[in-house]
Amino acid sequence: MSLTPLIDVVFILLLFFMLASSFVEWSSFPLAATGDRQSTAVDDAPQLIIALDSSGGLRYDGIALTESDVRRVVSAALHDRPRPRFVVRADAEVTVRRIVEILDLLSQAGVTDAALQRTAG
Amino acid sequence: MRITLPSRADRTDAHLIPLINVVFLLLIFFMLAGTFKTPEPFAVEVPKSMSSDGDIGADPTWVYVGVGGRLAVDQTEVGLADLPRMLRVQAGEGRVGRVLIKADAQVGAGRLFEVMTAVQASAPQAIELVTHHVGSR
Repeated sequence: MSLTPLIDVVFILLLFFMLASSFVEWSSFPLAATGDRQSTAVDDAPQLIIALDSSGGLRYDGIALTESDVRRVVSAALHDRPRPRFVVRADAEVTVRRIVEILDLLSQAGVTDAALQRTAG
Repeated sequence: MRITLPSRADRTDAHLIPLINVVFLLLIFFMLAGTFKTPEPFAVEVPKSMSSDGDIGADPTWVYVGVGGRLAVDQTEVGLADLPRMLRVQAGEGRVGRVLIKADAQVGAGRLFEVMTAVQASAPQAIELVTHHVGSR
């Protein structure tokens, strides 16, 4: 009994599965209502808006913040009643990488649903 | 001069059995642990994230946004104007619900917003931004 043809086939199968499989772990952020700044504010909940300018800097209420400041502001806001809606407002030049960093930051602070908005104008 | 004749065991393939065992184990590992790659219309390097753990789930519609703003729905490259129509075609095939946006990390937010607006124009859909989950940055 010769095992060589069996080994050939098994190697080919192995090669196929090695090349065709992917071990990348995907995940995703839900993107809540978007649009311009006026269009979505329909409910009464206050909005906590974190603005991202074109250089990637963070602003809350017009004040420049560091990332740890943002984490603190957001954590404090999560204990408020009524809880505000969290909005990330980004300039057109901000990269997706930076937006994901901020969504990451919010998610680590405990925000489950952050909306993404375009800076008007 | 001594000539070693092949013994009876050497003439069979019995010594290959451990090799086959290992190869079978590797085969089973790749069959069970891997998921099949989805072919991509162009290279997209999605941003890394630590905390999002949304599940990709079954059979979503993929929208690719590449460097330079290139757009594709599943395997088909489209322009921004054709995107809502393409998504409606997908919806007509019974694939309603989730649209996953696979945007390159370098794409600007302006382009992302354009794409999101176009997706929402096609039908009310749940939009998600796909990231590459890593343990820590």
